[in-house]
Amino acid sequence: MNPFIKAAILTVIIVALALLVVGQLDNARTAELRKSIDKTMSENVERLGVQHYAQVMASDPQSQCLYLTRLRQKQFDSTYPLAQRIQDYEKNNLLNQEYNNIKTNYFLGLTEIYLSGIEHHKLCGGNEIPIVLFYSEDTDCPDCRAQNRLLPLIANRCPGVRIYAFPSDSDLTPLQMMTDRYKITKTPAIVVDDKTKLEGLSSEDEIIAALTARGAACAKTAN
Amino acid sequence: MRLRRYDTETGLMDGSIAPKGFERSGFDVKGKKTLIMLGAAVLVLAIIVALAVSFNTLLLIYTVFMIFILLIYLCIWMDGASDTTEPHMPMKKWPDVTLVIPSYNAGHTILECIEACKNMHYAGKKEIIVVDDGSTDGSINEIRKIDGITLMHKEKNAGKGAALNMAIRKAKGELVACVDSDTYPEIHALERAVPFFNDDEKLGGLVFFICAAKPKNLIQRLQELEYWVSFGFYFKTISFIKGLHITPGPMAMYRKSIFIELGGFDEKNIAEDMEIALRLRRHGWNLTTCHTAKVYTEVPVSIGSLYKQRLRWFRGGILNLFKYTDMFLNPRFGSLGLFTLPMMLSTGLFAALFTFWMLSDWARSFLSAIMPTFSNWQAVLPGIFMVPALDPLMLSSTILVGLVPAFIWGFFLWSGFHIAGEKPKAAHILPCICLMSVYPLFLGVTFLSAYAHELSGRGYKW
Repeated sequence: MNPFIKAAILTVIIVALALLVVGQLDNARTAELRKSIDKTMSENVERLGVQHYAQVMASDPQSQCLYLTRLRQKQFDSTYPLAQRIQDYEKNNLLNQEYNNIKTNYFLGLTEIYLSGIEHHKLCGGNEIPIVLFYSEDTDCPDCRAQNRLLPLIANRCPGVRIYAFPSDSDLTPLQMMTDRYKITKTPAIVVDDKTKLEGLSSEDEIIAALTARGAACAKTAN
Repeated sequence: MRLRRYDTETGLMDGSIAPKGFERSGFDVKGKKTLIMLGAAVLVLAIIVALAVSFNTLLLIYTVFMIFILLIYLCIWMDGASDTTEPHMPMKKWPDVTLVIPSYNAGHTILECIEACKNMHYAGKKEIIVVDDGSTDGSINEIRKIDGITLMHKEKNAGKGAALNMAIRKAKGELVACVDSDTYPEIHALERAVPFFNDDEKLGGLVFFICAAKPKNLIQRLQELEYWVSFGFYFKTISFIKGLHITPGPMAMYRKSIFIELGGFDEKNIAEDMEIALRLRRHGWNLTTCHTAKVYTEVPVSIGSLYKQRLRWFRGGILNLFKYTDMFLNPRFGSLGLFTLPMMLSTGLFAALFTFWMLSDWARSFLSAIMPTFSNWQAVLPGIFMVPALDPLMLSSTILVGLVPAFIWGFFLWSGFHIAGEKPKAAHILPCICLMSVYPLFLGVTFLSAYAHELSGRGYKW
């Protein structure tokens, strides 16, 4: 047979086989994804259970700290890996339905972590100070990317600071509630410790000043 | 014997009439500008299409195309190109051979080259002509001390083609082997190559197996592998289907009679080795390769010199494709017209397009990252160099399909080792990784640059 025709037939067979294997891998990936989503959901139910218990039994709030801390650690373990997975999808340019599902779960989980952090701080104290970065997803926002890259440097300088980043234009209700609460009109915007709001691209010094005012102990220069 | 002059303006030998349909064989190709503009329009259109579709779609089309091309090579290889049998014709009389070595400021390599040529075993008569092409490094004084060679001297540097033509006019051999001054043939190369001419009366030119000489650094080691695959595997394969389109400059052998019939080398062409090969094919002569006739050539040591060399090759390739457009997709020229030339152009265009897409994407993310804040470089840098994640669960269809060409190419590399009679070593791992990852991007950039040079009409430099 003519080698060109042979090559054409082989190409069709190989591409078809490759796509078949991809299908199997996709199934494995979906199963993996479903597992992590189920885990997040069961943790949310668990959290509701703790809240319900506190309401019904009216126990001393301080006594819940141990459970809240443990629950929060579980939330970290299930939510933060999703961020890595989102990055993997983005790096591979796989912006499909799976990616959207993971993103939704990630932001809902992160919202839970943020809220439980505030609750934990109120009930149990501690030196954790949250910084929330609001950014735009629907419109290109180079300043948001620059701001995002600056925040880890600040976290390095200021122990106890935990960074959260939420899209201000998300259609997820908890995120919309937060955007409304902080009256975010411009991105990037930063909210320090649920109180101080900085709009527009903020410099390292401005953020450090806001953190210091909220009681953070920041090193004078970057480590 | 008088060598007819090949007129680079008209593309005709003096006193001859162009065969019908071959009028466009001159250096100044009629309508070259229009063709280049047309090519540019196709490229721009392709870029627009590429920007309109997603990167994944483009990558998928590219990989399927690559798989098809690679499988063609593989099928040809399996069909018999892998056969290592070579003609061992009983040579009643070994033809006289003239080795022609043009030399321009080659003081550091020419003596070794002449020594290697002198040392080559050959049962027939062997003549060596060295043409000093107006060297200014004093190498001519060293060459003069060598016995057993004919030295010709040009007062002014006129280029490789002119130097070769000058020597070929004086050559006494029936066969003429053109050897670059930085090339060192193996001791048996000549006696292994010559029988091919006895075997095929229509054989006009023969390609030796070009290998990298004494590779030291990564760039050279990378080229060593590339040469084994290109001049070993690819050349052997396309030679099998009579699709060879080039007789590479480091060392190739021709019947002298073809220079009488077709004229000498095109003296203005920067890829005269490709031009003469296409001219031979156009006039019905065959080309073949002898993979056991190994010659070692010096290869660029730095990325800059490699870029310059490849830019010249690509510009020469584009120029000669335009010069011989009538052979393109022309069934009269068999596999050359229907496979080699279209494949050469399409892989170049695809690589350029793919590279453009990747570079523009990187440039976009780079600019958007640095524009807002120049003061936070440490915060910006990590985001610029994004590489695909290696999580096995993230294998997308395109990446998986991309693995297939990598495996097939891996087989070609293995065959290249086999043809070269070498065994893979640990020192080959890094160059191999570079060859399969960064190097195609480098070639894509160089091809884009070559096309831009042709569009801008910039002059040619050796």
